[in-house]
Amino acid sequence: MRDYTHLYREELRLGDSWSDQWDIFLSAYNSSARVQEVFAKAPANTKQWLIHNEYGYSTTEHPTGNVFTSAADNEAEFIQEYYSAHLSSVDLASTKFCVDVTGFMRPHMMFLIKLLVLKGLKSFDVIYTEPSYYAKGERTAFSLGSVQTVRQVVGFEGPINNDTSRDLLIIAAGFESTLTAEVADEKEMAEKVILYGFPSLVADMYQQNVWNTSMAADAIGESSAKRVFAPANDPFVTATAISERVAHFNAGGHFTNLYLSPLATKAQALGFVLYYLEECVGKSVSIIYPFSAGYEKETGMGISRIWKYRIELPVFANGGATGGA
Amino acid sequence: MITTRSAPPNPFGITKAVDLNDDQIQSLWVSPMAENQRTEYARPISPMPTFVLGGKGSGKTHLMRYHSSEVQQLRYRLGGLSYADGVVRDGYLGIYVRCSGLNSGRFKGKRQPDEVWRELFAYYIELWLVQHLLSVTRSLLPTHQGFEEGLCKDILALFDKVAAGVELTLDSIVRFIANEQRHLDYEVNNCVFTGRLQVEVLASRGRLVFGLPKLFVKHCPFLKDVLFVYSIDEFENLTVEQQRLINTLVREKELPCTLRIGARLYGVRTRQTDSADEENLKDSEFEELRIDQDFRVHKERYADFARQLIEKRLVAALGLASEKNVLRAGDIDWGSFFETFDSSWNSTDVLGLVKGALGEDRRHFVLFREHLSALDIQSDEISSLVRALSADRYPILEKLNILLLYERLYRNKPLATAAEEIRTQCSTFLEKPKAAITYGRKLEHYKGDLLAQLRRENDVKQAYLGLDSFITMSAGLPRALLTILRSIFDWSLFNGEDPLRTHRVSISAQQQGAKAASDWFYENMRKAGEDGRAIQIAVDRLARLFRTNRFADKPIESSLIAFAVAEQEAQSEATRILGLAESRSFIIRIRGGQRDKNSIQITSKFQLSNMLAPRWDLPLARRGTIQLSPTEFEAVFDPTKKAEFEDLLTQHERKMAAPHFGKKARRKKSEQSQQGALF
Repeated sequence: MRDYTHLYREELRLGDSWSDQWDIFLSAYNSSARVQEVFAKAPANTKQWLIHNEYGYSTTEHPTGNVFTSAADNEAEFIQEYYSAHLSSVDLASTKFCVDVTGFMRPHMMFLIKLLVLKGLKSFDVIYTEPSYYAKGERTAFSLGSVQTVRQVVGFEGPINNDTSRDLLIIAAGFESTLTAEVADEKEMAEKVILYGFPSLVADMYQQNVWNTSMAADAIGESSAKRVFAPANDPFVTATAISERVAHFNAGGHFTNLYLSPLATKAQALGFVLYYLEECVGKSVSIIYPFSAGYEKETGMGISRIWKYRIELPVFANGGATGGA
Repeated sequence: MITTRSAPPNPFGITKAVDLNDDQIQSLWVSPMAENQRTEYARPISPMPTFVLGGKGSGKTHLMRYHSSEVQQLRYRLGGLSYADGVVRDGYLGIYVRCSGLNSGRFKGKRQPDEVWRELFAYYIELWLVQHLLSVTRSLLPTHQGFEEGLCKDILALFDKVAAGVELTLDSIVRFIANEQRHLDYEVNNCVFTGRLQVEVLASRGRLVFGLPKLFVKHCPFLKDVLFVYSIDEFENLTVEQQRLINTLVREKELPCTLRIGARLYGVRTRQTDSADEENLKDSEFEELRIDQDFRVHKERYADFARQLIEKRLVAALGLASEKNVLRAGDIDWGSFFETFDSSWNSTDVLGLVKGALGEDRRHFVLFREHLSALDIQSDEISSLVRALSADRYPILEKLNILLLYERLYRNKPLATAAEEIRTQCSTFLEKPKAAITYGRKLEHYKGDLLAQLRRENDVKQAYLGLDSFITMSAGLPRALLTILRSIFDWSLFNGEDPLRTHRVSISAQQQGAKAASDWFYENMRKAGEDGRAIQIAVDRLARLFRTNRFADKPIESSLIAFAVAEQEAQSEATRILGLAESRSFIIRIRGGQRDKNSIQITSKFQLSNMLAPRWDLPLARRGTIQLSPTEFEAVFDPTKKAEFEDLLTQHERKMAAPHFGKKARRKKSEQSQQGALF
């Protein structure tokens, strides 16, 4: 197993002046104050908004400034179009890049990181802002419409092992039990591990999370699912917890296929990405996600804490984030 | 009571076949088919391809895994047979695969044309299936060198081109095919970054899948009568294009191979093939086995199956043994497992429901008085009616008598005369039940609903009791049955009982367990997202409609959980939601439909799943059917038509509610003229 907790994280405050001066600051627009106020505050030479189609904003609702839109409905095509339009001529190796993942669609965030690393980004900053609370408490729904498919996130598709006898599925369970159930159903045969955000962003969110996840007990197989805990706002502990859990599982016989499904906070999703890029490329490991038709424009209310994570992994320095054959 | 030897784990704890290991698949197996049923799985050596369809929990996976080579080998070991001898004896070899393992979603997009993905997926399937085939046949094949070389030469000849370095050994060929798949994985997964797919397709469609088994037979004559069965489960995980490919394999299958395809009810997206865009035709290119539907049609067979299933669980978990030391379902006195309630009209259990109340103090007479008071009938006249309708020891007959009186009230008959007629009928029935044919028939029709009303009026929970009820409730889904029993067992333990060992399972635990299982079904069978909510809204409305009928003063239909509708006249969204609810087993289509009372048209007929009955206190038995007009159907099934539905429900309630039954309020007696009083 590997320990990622040495990586650096810092809490920022809206009222303080921020010491960083980024070359590019990228954020995904939505109606939350925690997205918009951080965007306004971030010191950067260039600031860019991505407009995700999944939020369903009309053109008149777009923010002013440097806005990227695309009709692409796939995370890879969307991000590649963004890259071609705004980054293809940038020397990423020498660019101070910051991405605020708070409003991002998770698959887009994951693909963006993989692409940028492949294109030469060695290190970068990630911002994630916690809400004070979610609009509808434990009943908050983030996705809209039915889950259309559960599939691998592009760029995080490992080669398939035909032997499925020790498949393992790790789900970072979010508030939406139906999503958890869809993922667990998709990999019915796999042994399931549920990763809970603990400590949670706000004290009662953990209880809400556990309660909601219990609604998916039938799909998860309550009696066999193992529990793992990692702070909801810490990608580094999350990556470490996954690494530890997988090592523990492998002690009883190596996994045949490993599936990772980050449905909880973006900070935890980032932890999944780090673990994948550092330890899983070229192995039978995939990140899977339940894709829905759309997402709510505003779920988190208020601003609690703003985190800056410094991402610099050995594998990035080696340029090794390609899928090995 | 059967005795046990160990502490009780929940024998029904595992309800999903995927959670069972191969040993459990074997040891808990019960054949879903009677010996004489002419289905593919009664004779797994049939070369006809079969689609095994069923709702979630119908037993598809258990069925397909039971016929997989892994479990075949287990059986042979238990029976002292070698793998080869066993396969030769059985005449088939099951190659079981699951589509979820393919991660088929990656074969699309990524700036590559659909045609390329079609070809690549076809090649991938070829590699995937033959790797499974090779993994289960390796140990069947002779090992001497001459044999292996000859076979391998022929296998390599199936490829259009073979990479350098592949030797004439099965190990080398297996490595070669695995590397091909791995290379394909790499190209498919990375083309989004590289912008190209560098893949050579080395074998045309079906060449390996159907070719390898032929070579095995050619080189191993002892396999000449063995059928190679590709069992492809979770077909619903494939896209339309990918299903077309499998359909093409079904259409073009070559002996000694066949295919079994497992899918949920909603899982088959297309019957089309790539063979000149032809569609596969049922009973021509394939047979269809609909497990839960067959179970519902063959009720006796399902009941036997269910009992054997439970017996296996009990033996495995509790070590139950009968006196003969061999436990068979037939040996078990199921009545001794569950506390019962005697629902006969003359039982003391039914009498106990009124909790000792007598005469006009009984809740049904209190309500009766309230209704008639609204017509301004004098108190002493009502008392007189109550006396006529009373049958002190048989409250269910009192309920029936009230219903009969309401029917006459509805037809504006004089109540005093009517009450006397009913009293006479009731007395005749009490003296000679067989002599009061009409009265007895009415009792038979409405007894379930009247008993439910009696329970509700006296604050007694509805009863879903005994194994027969649970089997009916599960509606052909064995997993649903196991879930009911799991919940009941858990509640029984929670209540401090020692279920199935020293104590019978109490009525309370059965009630709680049945309700919990019903809620489980409601929450877990639906699709996620908006469609799932739409299904729940429709089911909720339908159930409320039925419940209103069940607890009405004068129900329109007895034991109502079914409806009929002319589907072709209905609006598309409502029809779509009905289809979703059906595919998720919330609604069950009744074969044959029914003839509309007002026309010669045959309409489609459906019933609410019995699993949902406890959630809304509905009956398990289906008797009446309500005909829904297209407008009424849309009010129930279109989630946007909330107001229309509430109107519909209100209308139904009024039609069935005493004392007016939806007619304009009768004038009170005090206001009536000489045209004739109610008395």
